Formats: sequence, C-alpha cells, structure tokens
Amino acid sequence: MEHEPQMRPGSTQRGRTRSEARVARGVGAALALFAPAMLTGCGSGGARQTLQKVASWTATARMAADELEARHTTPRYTGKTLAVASDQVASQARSFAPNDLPGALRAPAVGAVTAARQAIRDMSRAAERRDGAALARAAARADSADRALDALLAALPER
Amino acid sequence: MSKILEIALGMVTGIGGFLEAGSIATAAQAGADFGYQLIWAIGVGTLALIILLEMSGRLALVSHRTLADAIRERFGVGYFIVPLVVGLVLSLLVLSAEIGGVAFALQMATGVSFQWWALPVALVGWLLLWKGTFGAIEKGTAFLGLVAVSIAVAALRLHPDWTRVGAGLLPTQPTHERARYWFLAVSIVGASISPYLYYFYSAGAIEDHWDLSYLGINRIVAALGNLFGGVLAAAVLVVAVLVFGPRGIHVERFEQLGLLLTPALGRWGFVFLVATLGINCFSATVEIALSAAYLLAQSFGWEWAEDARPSEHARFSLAYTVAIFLAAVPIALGVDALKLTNVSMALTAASLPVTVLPLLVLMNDRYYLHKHRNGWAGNLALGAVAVLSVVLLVVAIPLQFLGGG
Repeated sequence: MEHEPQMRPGSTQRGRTRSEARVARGVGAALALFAPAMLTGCGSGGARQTLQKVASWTATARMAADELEARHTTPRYTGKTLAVASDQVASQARSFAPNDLPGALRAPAVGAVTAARQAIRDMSRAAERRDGAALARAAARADSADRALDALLAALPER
Repeated sequence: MSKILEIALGMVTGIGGFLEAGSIATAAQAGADFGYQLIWAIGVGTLALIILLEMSGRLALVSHRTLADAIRERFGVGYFIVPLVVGLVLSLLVLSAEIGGVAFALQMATGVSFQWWALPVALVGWLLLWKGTFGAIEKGTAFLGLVAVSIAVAALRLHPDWTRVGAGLLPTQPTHERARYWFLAVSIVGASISPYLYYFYSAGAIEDHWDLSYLGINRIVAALGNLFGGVLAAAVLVVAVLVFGPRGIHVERFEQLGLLLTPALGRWGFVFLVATLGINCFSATVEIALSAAYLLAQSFGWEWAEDARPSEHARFSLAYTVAIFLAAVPIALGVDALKLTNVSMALTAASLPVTVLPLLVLMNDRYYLHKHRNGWAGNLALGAVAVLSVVLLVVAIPLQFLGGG
C-alpha cells in the first residue's frame, strides 16, 4: 500500500519551499485565467468577429479598386492588395461558424460571406489580368456583399 | 547660428525617431477602430518620451556616460544583465518590425512580395552603418523622413472636427471591444517610448561631443522634436478615422495602409505614404541596429563609435552586423510584420520599468549629475512615467492575449 510522503513544515513535495509553491500556484492561477483566451486564439469573438473581418476586407478590396480606377494607386499595388484580401476572406470563410449566430441570421450570413469571398476572388483575378471592366463588375458584387454584411452586423449585439 | 541649426536638426531627427512602423501602424489601427478616442495615448507617449529623452540626454552630457554605462556602473553587472537582455531581445523584435515596414513599402511600390525585400533592406542598412558616419546616418535619414509631413497635410485637407480631435486628448471608456482598446493604448505608448530611443539618444550625445553648453539645446530638441513626431502620429490617427472609419476598414495588414492618404492627396498620397513608411522605417532600422550595438559595447566595455572605421572597433561593428541580418530572417520567412509590430510594441511597454526606475535613481545622484540633478518637478514627471511603466508591465501581456488578435 502506498502512502503519501510525509512533508516537513515549511516544505512541499520534491523539497520545494513554501514560497516556491506560492509562485507555482500564482503561475497556475495566471494560466487558468488566460488559458481560455490563449486557446481560443487571440481576441477570438466567434461569428461576429468573422463577419467584421470579412466586411473590413471587402471594404478594403472595394476601396483598392476605386483608387485604381481613379489612377491614385498602381495596378501592381492593387493586384497585391486584392490577392491578400482574397486570402484573408477565404481563410475567414473556412473558419466561419454560423451556429454561433441566431437561427434567422445563419443562412443570410453564410450567403453574404460566400458572396464576398467569390466577389473578391474575381476582383483579384481581374486585377491580375488587368481587366478593368471585369474588376468593376466584381467590385459591384463586392459592394452588395458588403452592404449585406453591414446589415447583419447591425442586427447583431456588440461584444 | 550653429546652435539654431542644431535645434532644427534635432527637431527633424525627432520625426525619424518617433514615426516608424510601430507608431504608424498602431495609430492607424486606433483611428480605424476607435475614432479619435485614443489620441490621448499618443499624447501620453509623447510626453513620457520627452521626459525620458531630456533626462537621458542630460545624464550623458553632464556625466559623459551613456544611460547603459551609468546603469551598469551604479547598479552593478548583476542588475544590468536584466536591461541588457530585455533591451537586446526587444531591439531585435522591433528591428524585425521596422525591416518589415520597409519591405512592405517596397512591396507597395514594386508589387514584389515583402519577403524578398528583407535581406536587401538589411544589406543596404548594414552598408550605411559600415560606410557612413553617425551624423550622415542620423541627419540624412531624418531629412528624407520629412516626407511624413504629407500626413499632416492630408489630415488638414480632410477637415476633421477639431472639437472631437481635442476631446480625444482626454481618456474615455470605449463603448465596444474594451480589451482591444486598452491593448492599442498600451501599444501606442510602447511604440512612443521604446528604450532604444533613449539608449540611442544618450549614445548620440556622446558621439556628438555634447557638453554643458548643450543643456538648453538638449531640452529644446527633446521637447520640440518629439512634439513634432507626436503631432504626425496623431495625424496618422486622424486620417485613419476619416478614411478607414466610415468604410468599416480595420487595419490588419500593412498593405491596407497604401490607401490611407489617397482620398486626401490622390496619386501623390500613395507616393508619399510609401515614401514615409519606407524612409522612416529604414531610418529606425539603422538606428535600432546601432542602438543594439551601443548597448552590447557599453555593457562589455568594448570600444564603440560609429564615426570610427569598422576595423578599429571590430566587436561593435560585428554586433550591428549580426543584429541587422538576424532581424531580417523572420521577415524573409514571411512572418506577419503587423502582428510582429503589435507584439513588439506591447512587450516594449511591459519592459519599461527596467530602465525607467534606474533612471529615476540616477537623475538624483550627485555623483553623476552634480548640480544638474532633478528638481521636484523633474522627479514628479519621471515618477509619473515610472508609475505608468509599472502599470504597463502589469497589463501589457494579459492585454496581448485578450485584445491583440
């Protein structure tokens, strides 16, 4: 039969002093406090945050296209920015968990995210081909998706 | 006349020191996410930096010791190892972020991915350090950095509501995303008062042979130069409020910054933004690499002087060579430079007590400062910065997890 080892007063297991044990408890408490934030990813706010990020990148893509049309930026810069926007939205769309949303908003949210993803991907491809007309058409679709995303965000409570 | 020139040069250098990847990115993020609400954080950071630079400059010119020398001598090597290790690790992180800023500016200009620019940027920076003199590096890059004034012009052209801008100088509670708000506040302060700035400034006072006749110049340069830099950082925030805010754009990547000035300045806005980001981050890259070498050389008692030939001070030259190329590696590997910038700024804020608290002791030490010790007003100001630094130490890391995503 195994017995708990006897501990001397002022010491803990493995010869640690009381102050060391206190430090260890402090670290444990700190980890317990911050572990949820660390495990869920920094600043993870679920579906609302995903929608916010998709809306932000959709607005970025639209602005990049507008500024290119106004000849304020270069095609190289716009192409790169749209490629990044496309990657970011695709990544958000993959991790999107609509079940966090109220039932009535799930289907419109999935639709808006998908529409934004497709529109930005098409904008990126059009910019790569330097096809201004296709870029303008895709930008108009991104505009609709952006408005749908804004409406959804307005319907959701602030975190 | 030469003293007026010194003051003018110091003011110009203040922009280069203040406005870099960290301050541009955090101010733009703050403006896009929280409107004018975080202008106070830029104000606090600017004021704290003015206090720290004036005192580290005064310490250097009166005692003929850099801040690092004085901390090591007064507190012993046992303590000094803490600011040394912390200073070097943070310098490398911030150096990476600055190289990332230059690399992104080059990506915006050429369309070639930022990763490809990391090592060329490090090489050009290293060549400048190897071949150039302290004066050429400090003043040359600072004069080119004047292009940052375009941000203030853009802010004026966008006609902000000055009442709301002024109201932003007073801290207020955020209505949403509290953790993010405080994380950005901490990052802005961290970006403003990076320890490399005052290590570099005090080493610069020795390199430039400042003596007691420079007491007044030190005060004016520290105050006006950084006030100028702070105003430009606030201008970045104001422009972000007016350009990104209404569109719902949140700044997550450096690429988005290319659109910051175009609504106000058109095509030139894009050119000026790319130039501002590139030149100011490059200026900071060179200064941080040099600052890391100063810190190492002053810690181990090596010969150091940027104006000497590299072969004369071989270990000093090796230190900045290793620092600049090592810091380029994460960017060459594709690490997200904006995330790295945010993390570095928050950690910088957390590290402040290790240099600020010893400075408080040094500034009251008769042995170093004779009759130029701090008076009650100086101690009150530095004491407030010390309290702020301890608060930042406690909150910066938790906020990194809660609001840094």
